[in-house]
Amino acid sequence: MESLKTIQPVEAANAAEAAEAPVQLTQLTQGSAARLHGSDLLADDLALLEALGMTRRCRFRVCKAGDPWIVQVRETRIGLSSSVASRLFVVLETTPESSSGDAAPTFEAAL
Amino acid sequence: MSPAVTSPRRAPADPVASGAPGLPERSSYRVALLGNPNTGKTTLFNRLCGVLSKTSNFPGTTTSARTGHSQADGLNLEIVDLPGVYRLALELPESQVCRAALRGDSVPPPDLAVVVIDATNLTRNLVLLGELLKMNVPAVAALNMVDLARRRGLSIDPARLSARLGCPVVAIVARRGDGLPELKTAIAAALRGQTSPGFSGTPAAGLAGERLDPEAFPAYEDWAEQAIADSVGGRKAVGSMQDSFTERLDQAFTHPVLGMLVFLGVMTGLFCALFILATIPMDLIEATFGHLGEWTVSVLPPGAVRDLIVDGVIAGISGSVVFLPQICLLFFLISLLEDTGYLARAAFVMDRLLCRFGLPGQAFVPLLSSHACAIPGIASARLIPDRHDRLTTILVAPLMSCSARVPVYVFLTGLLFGDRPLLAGLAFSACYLLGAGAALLTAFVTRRTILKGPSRPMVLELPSYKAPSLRNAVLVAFDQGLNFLKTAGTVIMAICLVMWWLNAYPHSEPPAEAVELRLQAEAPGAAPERAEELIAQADLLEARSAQANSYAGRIGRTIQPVFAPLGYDWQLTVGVLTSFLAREVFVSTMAVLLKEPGEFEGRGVRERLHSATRDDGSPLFTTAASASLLVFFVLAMQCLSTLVVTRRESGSWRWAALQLGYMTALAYVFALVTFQSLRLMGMG
Repeated sequence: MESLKTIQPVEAANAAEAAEAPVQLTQLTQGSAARLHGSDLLADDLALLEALGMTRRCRFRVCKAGDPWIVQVRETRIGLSSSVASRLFVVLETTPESSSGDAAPTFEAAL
Repeated sequence: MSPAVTSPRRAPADPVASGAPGLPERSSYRVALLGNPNTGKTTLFNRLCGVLSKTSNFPGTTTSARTGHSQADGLNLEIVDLPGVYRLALELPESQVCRAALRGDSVPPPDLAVVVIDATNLTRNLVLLGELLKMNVPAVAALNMVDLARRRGLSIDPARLSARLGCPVVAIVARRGDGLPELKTAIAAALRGQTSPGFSGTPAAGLAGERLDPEAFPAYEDWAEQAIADSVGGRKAVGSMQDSFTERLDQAFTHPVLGMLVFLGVMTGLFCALFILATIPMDLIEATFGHLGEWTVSVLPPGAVRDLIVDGVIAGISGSVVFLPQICLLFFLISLLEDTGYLARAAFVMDRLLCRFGLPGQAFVPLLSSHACAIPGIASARLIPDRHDRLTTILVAPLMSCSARVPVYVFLTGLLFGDRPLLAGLAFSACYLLGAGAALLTAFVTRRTILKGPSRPMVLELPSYKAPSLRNAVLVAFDQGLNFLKTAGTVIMAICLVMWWLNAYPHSEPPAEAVELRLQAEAPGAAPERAEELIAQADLLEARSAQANSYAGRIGRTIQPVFAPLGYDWQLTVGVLTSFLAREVFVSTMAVLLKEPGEFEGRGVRERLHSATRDDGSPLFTTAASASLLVFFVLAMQCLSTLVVTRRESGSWRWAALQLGYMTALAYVFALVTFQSLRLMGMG
């Protein structure tokens, strides 16, 4: 399985890598879309997040930035306290600016 | 760490016909109701079983389960409402309880499981169904909220979905009862081993070879998404998930300032409603039992039997039932709030404050409820998922100033600042602050000692906003009220009987002064009004004598030296001891103990008590003694009913004993410091 092993963000060697470099979820802005990359959470908390649908396979959108962080995965809205959000490392996919032309972000798995 | 999830104790399911165990006909079948939180599982349970359900804890746990009865095509069903879980393979308490129940570890295993699936959130819900099928538990899927899914542009083909999943699928709208007859037919068919229309195939065929553990999540997710791809259309219509209404409400309700203001407004409304609306039935209950007691006195001859019935049984039942309106109303209102989706947002608002003290955000409901009464407050701690968080909340909840403390606060602040209402008001407020501060600090210490560890970081699903269901709220209130009467009520009554006995026995001879007064009243020529007054005075003297010579009174005199450093003489010690049953008893006990002969009518109670004296003639309620009493009553447990409920909710008398012990110690030490400090300042 693609387990969410504890990882640390790494310095990107170039721009392409920088785009893929994981950042803390708390560094995202409202409206950004991203995927989970890794976490520093306890196994139980991580398993709960995964059961809610927040896996590294599934894209999520930041509905609210700031404590509490609110993200949407498929049809599930998940509230995360800052202490949880800061321990999640994500790969940014789109920013609000880059998707401003769209009526709404598209999700590959609506259900 | 992978949980060792094994199959239930039954023969492996027929690979060709899951959901069709083909059980022999018998009087009743056991059906488990399983589902993710917020899928309408409880609504479906209420639809199937109505109000006639029983709530009990799973063996060896404090997780409650409701059991009800229903019928499906001539079959009797015993339906068990399992706790809401996201996955069976997780090591969360609810998942463990569900796995044990489905395996039949401590209770008989179900013959069938009905899995409630949110039609608007299929992937996550189908993962749970896949796990259930991997446990070889025959299942019927109840596809709930299909109306909402349709409105969002989804078209789900239950027959195709059924074929893909390998178990019958029935579309329902539990809130309206739509699809219930079809669901019952599918349940009955599955139990009889018949194939439901539209269903054929192998259960969870795509999951062959997968294990049931947290690591296998992607395989289950793939299986669910493939099933969805084959049977659900209109996905593009759901692509627009930006629900601006929801997002605006979320922004407001979780905002650090606005969110707190909304929270304060909602909670003020809730508790105003609780105080105002519960008062009416509570007064009615007390009046009804009062009349019943008077009637019993009028029809039974004086004696031990009458005393037992009036002061023991009737008072004991009254002491339990009087809490019922508060409990029912609180759970009714909480159920409405929970249904709206607001409570999950409010939990985040309070989490910012409470997490500093080791409490989770969800603790705000129990702690605030405890301002009305600690009993429903502790009961509502069930909302907290983590056991350590829940136990900490239960331990500190009684420190919040409940309504039973109000008469004592009014009485003592009145004694301290009778002619200075502003100071009396400030002292009154300080009592509430002292209680709340002590609760938070105790939680802080508890999480660093006996229940080590920080409060669990908040990860919560934020359910959709929707109109609450009155029917559900009524059923929840009814269920909780009945549960309280059945469990806590019986124990509370038993304890009331014991306390009555300690207060009433042994009977002592009436004091000579009382005998003399009665003789004067019965003397020929005594004016009726004067005779009545003399008899009242005699009754009072006898009551004081009886109380002082009762077992409770004797215990009070014996242990008075323990309370002497707090400034209490034997009379105050008896008052504190008798109010161990319930705090509010303190004022009435003192009124009886300290009433002087010849003052049955005349001076007010407060004025009379203010000038009450000790045996040596010194003032009883000095500033230091009154302040010490006030602090003692803010912090002491002094409520047996609460201890009983703590035992019920924590699952052990150990926690109730700890609660009693630490609160008594805290009250003693703070009262001691208060008295001695004020005495040194010349206010003793």
